[in-house]
Amino acid sequence: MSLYYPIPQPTIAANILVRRERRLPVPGEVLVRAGQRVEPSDVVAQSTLSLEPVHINVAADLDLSASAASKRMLVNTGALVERGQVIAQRGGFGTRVSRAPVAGVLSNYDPSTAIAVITMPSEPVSAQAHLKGIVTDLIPYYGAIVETPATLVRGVFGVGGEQHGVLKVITAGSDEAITPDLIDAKVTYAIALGGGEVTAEALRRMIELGARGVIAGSIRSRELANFLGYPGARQADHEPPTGMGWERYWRLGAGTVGSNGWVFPPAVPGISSPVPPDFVLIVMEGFGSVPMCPRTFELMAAYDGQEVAIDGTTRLRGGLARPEIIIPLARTTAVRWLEESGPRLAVGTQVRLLSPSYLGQMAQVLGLPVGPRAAQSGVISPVADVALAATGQKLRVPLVDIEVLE
Amino acid sequence: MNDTDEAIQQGAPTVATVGAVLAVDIGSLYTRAAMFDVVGDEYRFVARSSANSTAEGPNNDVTAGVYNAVRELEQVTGRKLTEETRLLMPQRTDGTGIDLFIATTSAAPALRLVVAAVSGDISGESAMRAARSTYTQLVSSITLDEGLLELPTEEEVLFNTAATAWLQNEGDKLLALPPDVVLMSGGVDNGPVAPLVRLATAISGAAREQGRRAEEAARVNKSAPGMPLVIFAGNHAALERVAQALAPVSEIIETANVRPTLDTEQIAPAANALAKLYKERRMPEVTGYSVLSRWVEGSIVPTAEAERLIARYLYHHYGRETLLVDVGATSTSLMLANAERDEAVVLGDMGLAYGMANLLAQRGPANILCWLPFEMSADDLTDWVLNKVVRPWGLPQTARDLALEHALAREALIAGMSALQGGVPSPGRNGSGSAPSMRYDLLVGTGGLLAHIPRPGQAALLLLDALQSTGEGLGSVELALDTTMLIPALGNLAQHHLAAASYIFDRDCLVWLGTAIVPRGYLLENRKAAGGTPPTAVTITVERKRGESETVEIPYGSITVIPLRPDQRAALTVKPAPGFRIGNGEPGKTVKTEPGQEVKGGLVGLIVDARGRPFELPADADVRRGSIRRWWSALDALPTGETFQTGPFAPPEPAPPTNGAEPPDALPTSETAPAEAQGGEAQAAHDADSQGANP
Repeated sequence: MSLYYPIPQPTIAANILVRRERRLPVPGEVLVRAGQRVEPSDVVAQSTLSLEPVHINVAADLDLSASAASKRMLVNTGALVERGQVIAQRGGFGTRVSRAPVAGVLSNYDPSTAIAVITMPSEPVSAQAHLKGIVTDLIPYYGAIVETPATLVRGVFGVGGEQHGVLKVITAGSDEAITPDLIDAKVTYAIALGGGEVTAEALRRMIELGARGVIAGSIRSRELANFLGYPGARQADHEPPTGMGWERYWRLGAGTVGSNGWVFPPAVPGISSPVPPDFVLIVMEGFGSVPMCPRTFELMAAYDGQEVAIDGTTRLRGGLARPEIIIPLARTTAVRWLEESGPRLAVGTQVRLLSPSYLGQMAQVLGLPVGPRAAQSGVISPVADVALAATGQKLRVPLVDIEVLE
Repeated sequence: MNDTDEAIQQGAPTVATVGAVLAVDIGSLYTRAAMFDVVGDEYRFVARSSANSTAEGPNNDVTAGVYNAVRELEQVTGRKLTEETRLLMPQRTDGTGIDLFIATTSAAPALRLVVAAVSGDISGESAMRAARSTYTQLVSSITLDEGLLELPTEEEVLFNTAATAWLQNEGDKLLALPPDVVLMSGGVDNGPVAPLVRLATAISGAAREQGRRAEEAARVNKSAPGMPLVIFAGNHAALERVAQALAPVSEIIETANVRPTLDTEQIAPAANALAKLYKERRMPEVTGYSVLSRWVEGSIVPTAEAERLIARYLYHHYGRETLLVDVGATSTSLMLANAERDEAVVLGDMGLAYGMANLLAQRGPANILCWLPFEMSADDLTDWVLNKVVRPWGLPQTARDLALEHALAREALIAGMSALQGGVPSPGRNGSGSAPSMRYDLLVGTGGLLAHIPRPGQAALLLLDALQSTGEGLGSVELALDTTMLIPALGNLAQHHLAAASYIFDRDCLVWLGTAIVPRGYLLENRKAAGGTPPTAVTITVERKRGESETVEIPYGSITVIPLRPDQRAALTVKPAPGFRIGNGEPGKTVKTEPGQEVKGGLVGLIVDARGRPFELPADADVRRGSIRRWWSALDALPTGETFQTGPFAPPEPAPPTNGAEPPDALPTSETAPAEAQGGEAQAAHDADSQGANP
């Protein structure tokens, strides 16, 4: 096995230059100029999204000629139609119907061809800066590139997309759980930071109070499933006797959202998520009750009260994407390029353990044995000998199960 | 059948005219490189290396991972194989460079597939078997008989609301998880046409909507699966009307009917059409594929196709009825080659890293937990699995993590076996279902988990637990592991140089775990422990040298190892107890090995699995965990003193059983084999003396 590091990007990259593209999905008007300073809520570009009208061949749906089909239309031109609404029906033996595939206005119907047209209302779209920084480049008709010196922290998975807000530390330490009683009005419009696990109830309380996002150490899978509205995930729900309960909703690779459904956590078909689309959750360590790595927590907590940009997007395959937290720094900060800050594993380095049994614990490298060796489990791979920071316990850990901390 | 298949069947030698061969296998997590060359006057395996696959960011190009693996191979062999960033080809007189570069891959995402059939249990099952022969993910299935489960009332018939509701419902089902391909089947040749037209109408409506959604997504720079294509493998008389009903689906691939008559099945044409689609549509999606395909000789081969060739080779060349299993990061494959069947099952979305969430979702936590020798809650298991899914490259750090991976691997293989048996319920789970005939006498395991397994006994037990081998044909099953993971490379090499591939396979590929003897049959609950001790299931007399024999009685419900080293063979006399039989023998009939057909030893030894077939795990959790610990100890799969207590998820100490069962750690002497006979650390798997014997 190779000594090549799996993700050559560090979890924490302090004082680097972050550049982010802010782009419209369709051409529009760019509202900023190169060199301009932007605030997170500034709109960089805007446009309107007019969707293509949908054509429905009513004659084919009813299996009739155009003139016969026209007699069976149930909706007049100009009427509003719902998705799935029957717009024409052929009765009697061998009944067939024609349904509206989208919601909109039945804007046209041509009796000679029996083609109905449904027009959908156009929607405004805009690209926000989400980041306090400087516009360095323009993308004509689409958007701009915003740059800022920043500290970048990566999580393991998240819920939601891009958001920004003031960082508010709500737990006393990296191991304190985020419980509903810790949540008060100070989280409104803010990004809350807590060290331990977070519960569905606490997350719902945050949403009630208008929080924009949460950064937590961990979350139990049942709590996340409960938060996402997976049926059967509440503690009170009766477990089915077969044991095939809410766990079946973690199915990956089959979903409707791009990248072959590898967006995490998966959306359940047919169930609308109770999570508001602009709310973001970022989990730093993983599932279970695992405290955040103290180093990561302390680094972020030092920026309490500052504006941060977060992105919860997580995709495991087909275009890998991990959630990130960008903490913009003063423009005078000396920065370096991210490539130069790659992790260096050596004797004495501080590392973070990733295997489920020791997830999130900090340790120090005591030695790097040459060649593959047996880890605690007996599996043979390149290993490191480490000592746990908390207890001093010595372990032999596969190299793929450690992450170098800067 | 291609040229290689014919050559394999005829055993025709191929003259190898090349020197060094570099073969890479690109998985979803790891890229493995192997090098073969002429050593002395024979082809041999020289070295192998491995690097992380780089299909995903930040590299977004699999060739980076290939390059890393080749550079490591250079370090291991001390031979120069690259020049700047290019492969050094052809081989030079000083030994540097290579003559042939070939590649296999399983890194491409599986084809998302819907099976649409007239009848779920006839045409649907045949279509399902065709669908599972390559890397597919079965997202849903629609059958007409499902629609007929609730018979419409007279009024509903009048307004036909039941039919329209069914169409709408099936359309929604298709749209919820949009497929790339719809495999349509149904009707015997020249049978009724109307049901297929009705099925096509449902598909057409959903396909049109799926196409519209994709267009909408493309307008806002997003991606969504476009209109699916349809493989039609049903009654050909219906093709014209089905094609009309399927409009606007324009891409319809016509293959032979999977069920030309009610009692005949031909899945190969539909399976080939799917394999072709996977190669043409999915494999090029792997980032860097086009560059890699210019480097390689021939084309890049799907890993499962190369593995299937090896299973065929073992059957046709050696007459060994073979089951080859591969538990990978994203997919699980089983290849069976025997006198009656030549079949592959590829579960394209069930594996031990990326595929673990699907494995949990489809098998359920209860099934997985019952293979653990310690207590764990379903919620903790789900947390553990999801942590592995979000960090797929991790390796098990503790014995507890390893036991969890092995439990999941057992369930992946059970799912594969169930598919291979034609979808009947898994054997042995609470006595459900009876297994149809699945004859094989050679069981070969490959894939990262099995190849890197720390103890040979763990591999043997994992395979026996999950596959429930019976030795139906010969009365015994030989177990082997591909610890060097050469099978995909050799299957691919066989298409270029069969003689070289078969020579290397015979000498360098397999490590023998041993031979398993399995008395078939089981005892009813009330007879299991009459009088306190379980009755004897089988008595075996082992003769390692002429005149020196040893007789062992094996009680029902236990698994025992009789020492037999890899270099040893033994003549056996196997006397099953009344009600039990060996292979296809009569119940209670004694079986003896013929001279020259003595059984082979291995790193584990001679394994006697007297747990019954089909075997059931005890329902009581404490008794079950106790039994699992005893079985693990018997095969030296349990490290001495292991309590599985390490890490923050450590469970409380299990309470001593109160129902008369033996305490978990009390090991009956008959089940404890001498340590030296049972292999040891995995390095032993690489000992020269354990290899070199052909199958």
